[in-house]
Amino acid sequence: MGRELPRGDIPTLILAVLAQAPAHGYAIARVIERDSANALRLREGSLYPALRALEQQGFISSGWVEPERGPARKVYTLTDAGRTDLARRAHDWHAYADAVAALLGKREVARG
Amino acid sequence: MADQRIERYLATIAGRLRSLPPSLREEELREVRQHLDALVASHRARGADESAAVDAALRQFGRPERIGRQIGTVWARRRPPRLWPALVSYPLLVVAIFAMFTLLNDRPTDFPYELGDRLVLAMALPAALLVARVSRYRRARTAHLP
Repeated sequence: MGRELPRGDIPTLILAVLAQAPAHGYAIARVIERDSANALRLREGSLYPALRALEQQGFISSGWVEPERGPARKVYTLTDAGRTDLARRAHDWHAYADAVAALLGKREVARG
Repeated sequence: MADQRIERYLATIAGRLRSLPPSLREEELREVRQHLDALVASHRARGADESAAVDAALRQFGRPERIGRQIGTVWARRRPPRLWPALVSYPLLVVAIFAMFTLLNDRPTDFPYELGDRLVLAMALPAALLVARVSRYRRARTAHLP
Protein backbone atom coordinates (compact mmCIF):
# COMPACT_ATOMS: atom_id res chain seq x y z
CA MET A 1 0.00 0.00 0.00
CA GLY A 2 2.67 2.52 0.91
CA ARG A 3 6.43 2.60 0.85
CA GLU A 4 8.11 2.40 4.24
CA LEU A 5 10.07 5.58 4.78
CA PRO A 6 13.80 5.07 5.40
CA ARG A 7 14.78 6.54 8.76
CA GLY A 8 17.38 8.80 7.17
CA ASP A 9 14.75 10.61 5.11
CA ILE A 10 12.56 11.54 8.05
CA PRO A 11 14.44 14.74 9.04
CA THR A 12 14.19 16.04 5.46
CA LEU A 13 10.44 15.47 5.40
CA ILE A 14 10.00 17.12 8.79
CA LEU A 15 11.83 20.22 7.55
CA ALA A 16 9.72 20.24 4.37
CA VAL A 17 6.48 20.01 6.37
CA LEU A 18 7.52 22.76 8.77
CA ALA A 19 8.50 24.96 5.82
CA GLN A 20 4.78 25.13 5.07
CA ALA A 21 3.79 26.06 8.62
CA PRO A 22 4.68 25.34 12.26
CA ALA A 23 3.09 22.12 13.50
CA HIS A 24 3.03 19.63 16.35
CA GLY A 25 4.16 16.02 15.97
CA TYR A 26 0.78 14.50 15.19
CA ALA A 27 0.05 17.17 12.57
CA ILE A 28 3.45 16.57 10.93
CA ALA A 29 2.57 12.90 10.54
CA ARG A 30 -0.79 13.75 9.01
CA VAL A 31 0.74 16.19 6.52
CA ILE A 32 3.30 13.60 5.42
CA GLU A 33 0.48 11.10 4.98
CA ARG A 34 -1.72 13.53 3.10
CA ASP A 35 0.85 15.29 0.91
CA SER A 36 2.42 12.04 -0.21
CA ALA A 37 -1.08 10.72 -1.04
CA ASN A 38 -0.45 7.88 1.38
CA ALA A 39 2.57 6.79 -0.64
CA LEU A 40 4.89 7.19 2.34
CA ARG A 41 4.33 5.26 5.55
CA LEU A 42 6.24 5.75 8.71
CA ARG A 43 6.19 4.57 12.30
CA GLU A 44 4.98 7.87 13.71
CA GLY A 45 6.98 7.52 16.89
CA SER A 46 10.17 7.79 14.86
CA LEU A 47 9.31 11.44 14.24
CA TYR A 48 10.26 12.28 17.81
CA PRO A 49 13.93 11.26 17.85
CA ALA A 50 14.27 13.10 14.53
CA LEU A 51 12.58 16.20 15.97
CA ARG A 52 14.92 16.14 18.98
CA ALA A 53 17.98 15.84 16.76
CA LEU A 54 16.85 18.64 14.43
CA GLU A 55 16.26 20.87 17.43
CA GLN A 56 19.70 20.08 18.81
CA GLN A 57 21.19 21.05 15.47
CA GLY A 58 19.31 24.35 15.56
CA PHE A 59 17.21 23.65 12.47
CA ILE A 60 13.90 23.79 14.33
CA SER A 61 12.69 25.33 17.57
CA SER A 62 9.84 24.20 19.80
CA GLY A 63 7.46 25.59 22.36
CA TRP A 64 4.37 24.51 24.25
CA VAL A 65 1.39 26.42 22.89
CA GLU A 66 -1.94 26.82 24.68
CA PRO A 67 -4.78 26.65 22.16
CA GLU A 68 -8.21 28.15 22.82
CA ARG A 69 -9.53 24.68 23.55
CA GLY A 70 -7.80 21.50 24.52
CA PRO A 71 -4.45 20.80 26.13
CA ALA A 72 -1.18 22.60 25.42
CA ARG A 73 0.69 21.14 22.48
CA LYS A 74 4.37 21.22 21.63
CA VAL A 75 4.66 23.08 18.34
CA TYR A 76 7.76 23.02 16.14
CA THR A 77 8.93 25.88 13.93
CA LEU A 78 11.53 25.98 11.19
CA THR A 79 14.48 28.27 11.93
CA ASP A 80 16.47 30.24 9.35
CA ALA A 81 19.24 27.69 9.63
CA GLY A 82 16.64 25.00 9.06
CA ARG A 83 15.38 26.72 5.96
CA THR A 84 18.90 26.85 4.56
CA ASP A 85 19.48 23.21 5.43
CA LEU A 86 16.24 22.21 3.76
CA ALA A 87 17.30 23.97 0.55
CA ARG A 88 20.59 22.06 0.64
CA ARG A 89 18.79 18.75 1.21
CA ALA A 90 16.34 19.47 -1.61
CA HIS A 91 19.20 20.25 -3.95
CA ASP A 92 21.03 17.06 -2.99
CA TRP A 93 17.89 15.00 -3.35
CA HIS A 94 17.14 16.31 -6.85
CA ALA A 95 20.73 15.76 -7.92
CA TYR A 96 20.53 12.20 -6.61
CA ALA A 97 17.17 11.54 -8.28
CA ASP A 98 18.41 12.95 -11.58
CA ALA A 99 21.48 10.74 -11.49
CA VAL A 100 19.46 7.61 -10.79
CA ALA A 101 16.92 8.51 -13.46
CA ALA A 102 19.70 9.06 -15.98
CA LEU A 103 21.19 5.67 -15.18
CA LEU A 104 17.80 4.06 -15.47
CA GLY A 105 17.57 5.54 -18.94
CA LYS A 106 14.59 7.76 -18.26
CA ARG A 107 14.08 11.44 -19.03
CA GLU A 108 15.26 13.98 -16.49
CA VAL A 109 12.83 14.09 -13.59
CA ALA A 110 10.66 17.19 -13.80
CA ARG A 111 11.08 19.53 -10.89
CA GLY A 112 8.28 21.40 -9.16
CA MET B 1 -8.47 -2.09 29.78
CA ALA B 2 -7.27 -0.41 26.63
CA ASP B 3 -5.93 2.52 28.65
CA GLN B 4 -3.56 0.18 30.47
CA ARG B 5 -1.93 -0.77 27.23
CA ILE B 6 -1.11 2.88 26.57
CA GLU B 7 0.24 3.24 30.12
CA ARG B 8 2.40 0.14 29.68
CA TYR B 9 3.58 1.41 26.32
CA LEU B 10 4.56 4.76 27.87
CA ALA B 11 6.24 2.97 30.76
CA THR B 12 8.41 1.06 28.27
CA ILE B 13 9.50 4.31 26.68
CA ALA B 14 10.08 5.84 30.11
CA GLY B 15 12.29 2.90 30.96
CA ARG B 16 14.66 3.87 28.16
CA LEU B 17 14.74 7.48 29.37
CA ARG B 18 15.88 6.83 32.92
CA SER B 19 18.99 8.93 32.43
CA LEU B 20 16.92 12.03 31.70
CA PRO B 21 15.96 14.54 34.42
CA PRO B 22 12.41 13.71 35.53
CA SER B 23 10.87 16.93 34.18
CA LEU B 24 12.33 16.29 30.74
CA ARG B 25 11.20 12.67 30.79
CA GLU B 26 7.69 13.79 31.76
CA GLU B 27 7.65 16.25 28.90
CA GLU B 28 8.64 13.55 26.41
CA LEU B 29 5.94 11.21 27.68
CA ARG B 30 3.35 13.97 27.66
CA GLU B 31 4.00 14.62 23.98
CA VAL B 32 3.91 10.95 23.05
CA ARG B 33 0.72 10.43 25.03
CA GLN B 34 -0.97 13.28 23.16
CA HIS B 35 0.04 11.81 19.83
CA LEU B 36 -1.26 8.37 20.84
CA ASP B 37 -4.54 9.83 22.12
CA ALA B 38 -5.01 11.65 18.81
CA LEU B 39 -4.34 8.42 16.88
CA VAL B 40 -6.84 6.51 19.02
CA ALA B 41 -9.43 9.23 18.47
CA SER B 42 -8.92 9.16 14.70
CA HIS B 43 -9.38 5.38 14.57
CA ARG B 44 -12.48 5.59 16.74
CA ALA B 45 -13.84 8.29 14.42
CA ARG B 46 -13.44 5.77 11.62
CA GLY B 47 -15.64 3.32 13.48
CA ALA B 48 -13.17 1.17 15.41
CA ASP B 49 -13.99 0.17 18.99
CA GLU B 50 -11.73 1.31 21.82
CA SER B 51 -9.62 -1.84 21.90
CA ALA B 52 -9.04 -1.98 18.15
CA ALA B 53 -8.32 1.74 18.06
CA VAL B 54 -5.64 1.40 20.75
CA ASP B 55 -4.13 -1.58 18.92
CA ALA B 56 -3.97 0.33 15.67
CA ALA B 57 -2.59 3.45 17.33
CA LEU B 58 0.22 1.61 19.10
CA ARG B 59 1.14 -0.27 15.93
CA GLN B 60 1.10 2.93 13.94
CA PHE B 61 3.36 4.65 16.44
CA GLY B 62 6.00 1.93 16.47
CA ARG B 63 7.96 -0.20 18.92
CA PRO B 64 8.30 1.60 22.25
CA GLU B 65 11.70 0.09 23.09
CA ARG B 66 13.18 1.38 19.87
CA ILE B 67 11.58 4.83 20.08
CA GLY B 68 12.60 5.24 23.72
CA ARG B 69 16.15 4.16 22.93
CA GLN B 70 16.41 6.55 19.98
CA ILE B 71 15.11 9.50 21.97
CA GLY B 72 17.47 8.62 24.82
CA THR B 73 20.40 8.47 22.41
CA VAL B 74 19.71 11.94 21.07
CA TRP B 75 19.52 13.39 24.58
CA ALA B 76 22.66 11.54 25.64
CA ARG B 77 24.62 13.45 23.01
CA ARG B 78 23.91 16.61 24.93
CA ARG B 79 25.52 15.40 28.13
CA PRO B 80 28.97 16.89 28.67
CA PRO B 81 31.66 14.31 27.98
CA ARG B 82 33.55 12.99 31.01
CA LEU B 83 37.22 12.29 31.37
CA TRP B 84 37.33 10.53 34.74
CA PRO B 85 36.47 7.05 33.43
CA ALA B 86 39.63 7.13 31.30
CA LEU B 87 41.71 8.49 34.18
CA VAL B 88 40.47 5.74 36.47
CA SER B 89 40.89 2.90 34.01
CA TYR B 90 44.44 3.86 33.07
CA PRO B 91 46.08 2.96 36.40
CA LEU B 92 43.91 -0.16 36.56
CA LEU B 93 45.18 -1.21 33.15
CA VAL B 94 48.77 -0.49 34.19
CA VAL B 95 48.35 -2.70 37.26
CA ALA B 96 46.66 -5.44 35.25
CA ILE B 97 49.36 -5.51 32.57
CA PHE B 98 52.12 -5.36 35.15
CA ALA B 99 50.54 -8.25 37.04
CA MET B 100 50.23 -10.21 33.81
CA PHE B 101 53.92 -9.74 33.04
CA THR B 102 54.83 -10.72 36.60
CA LEU B 103 52.72 -13.83 36.67
CA LEU B 104 53.95 -15.01 33.30
CA ASN B 105 57.55 -14.33 34.18
CA ASP B 106 58.47 -17.79 35.31
CA ARG B 107 58.16 -19.08 31.76
CA PRO B 108 61.13 -19.19 29.43
CA THR B 109 59.80 -16.47 27.15
CA ASP B 110 60.85 -13.07 25.91
CA PHE B 111 58.67 -11.34 28.47
CA PRO B 112 60.44 -8.52 30.28
CA TYR B 113 62.21 -9.72 33.40
CA GLU B 114 63.50 -6.54 35.01
CA LEU B 115 61.00 -4.74 37.22
CA GLY B 116 61.74 -1.47 35.50
CA ASP B 117 61.10 -2.96 32.06
CA ARG B 118 57.83 -4.43 33.19
CA LEU B 119 56.71 -1.14 34.67
CA VAL B 120 57.63 0.88 31.61
CA LEU B 121 55.84 -1.50 29.27
CA ALA B 122 52.78 -1.67 31.52
CA MET B 123 52.57 2.12 31.49
CA ALA B 124 53.34 2.57 27.81
CA LEU B 125 50.87 0.08 26.38
CA PRO B 126 47.64 1.65 27.65
CA ALA B 127 49.08 5.16 27.25
CA ALA B 128 48.06 5.22 23.59
CA LEU B 129 44.48 4.49 24.62
CA LEU B 130 44.59 7.21 27.25
CA VAL B 131 45.95 9.79 24.80
CA ALA B 132 43.23 8.91 22.29
CA ARG B 133 40.55 9.18 24.97
CA VAL B 134 41.85 12.56 26.18
CA SER B 135 41.96 14.04 22.69
CA ARG B 136 38.45 12.76 22.00
CA TYR B 137 37.29 14.34 25.24
CA ARG B 138 38.86 17.68 24.37
CA ARG B 139 37.29 17.65 20.90
CA ALA B 140 33.91 16.78 22.37
CA ARG B 141 34.20 19.60 24.92
CA THR B 142 34.62 22.21 22.22
CA ALA B 143 31.96 20.66 19.98
CA HIS B 144 29.59 20.78 22.93
CA LEU B 145 29.75 24.58 23.08
CA PRO B 146 26.83 26.36 21.33
